[in-house]
Amino acid sequence: MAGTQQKSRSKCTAWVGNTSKNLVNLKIRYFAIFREAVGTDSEAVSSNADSARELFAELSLKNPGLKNYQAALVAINNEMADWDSPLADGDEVLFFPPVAGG
Amino acid sequence: MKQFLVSPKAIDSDRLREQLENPQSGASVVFEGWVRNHHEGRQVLRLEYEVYAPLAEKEGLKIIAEAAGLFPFENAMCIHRSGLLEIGECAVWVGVSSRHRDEAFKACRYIIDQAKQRLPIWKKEYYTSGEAEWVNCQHCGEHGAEPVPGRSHA
Repeated sequence: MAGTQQKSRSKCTAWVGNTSKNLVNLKIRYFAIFREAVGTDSEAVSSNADSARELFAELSLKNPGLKNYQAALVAINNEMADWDSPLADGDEVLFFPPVAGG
Repeated sequence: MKQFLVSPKAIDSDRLREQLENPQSGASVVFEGWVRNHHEGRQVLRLEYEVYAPLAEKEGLKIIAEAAGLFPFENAMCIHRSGLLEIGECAVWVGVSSRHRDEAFKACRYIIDQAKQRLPIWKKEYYTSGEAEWVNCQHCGEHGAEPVPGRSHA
């Protein structure tokens, strides 16, 4: 999906018929208990989620083991991120289950 | 010196402590987190730490920089293990040296508490019963929530 379409997401709905949002292609990585719940350490997904939180909710529908995001952490492109962070085409999204260092 | 490292090998406390030394410092505080043989009533055989090192090291350095802003010190280091650990092994080591003891105590406490809450590190416990579970350790960073053996030099 072209980056220009991503930027104008909110203005172009009239041009794309029934699709109210643009799909973005993302790489998702899972760690620890999330990896075991999903059964893979990474996957490619296309999503129209507006934020990391929405993406997590969307993925948890097919993987009930993805839960408790309030205690989990998210990183985008190797930077710690907020759950409200927007997603852009090509982003790598890392879902970290509740951490337990020390 | 400010350093954060993830190590797949055993932590050598004595060698690390020597690196804290400097003529400006009159105090050093070292915290060691050890692998316990029990957790919430279950007998633990060993632990496994999964670490996402690229972000753990980046975030670990941020934590040490924050501590430096709050409690000025001369040197601080934090080393966290990855992989399989046996009972009694050192899982995490935090050392701070400073001009006076107050900053060293406070900075050391800040670093270990924040490290437990923020670093992408996960702990799997293997029990004597043959079971294994990922530990949900959300409260470990709260003061006094989980006493772990440590030692201080000041």
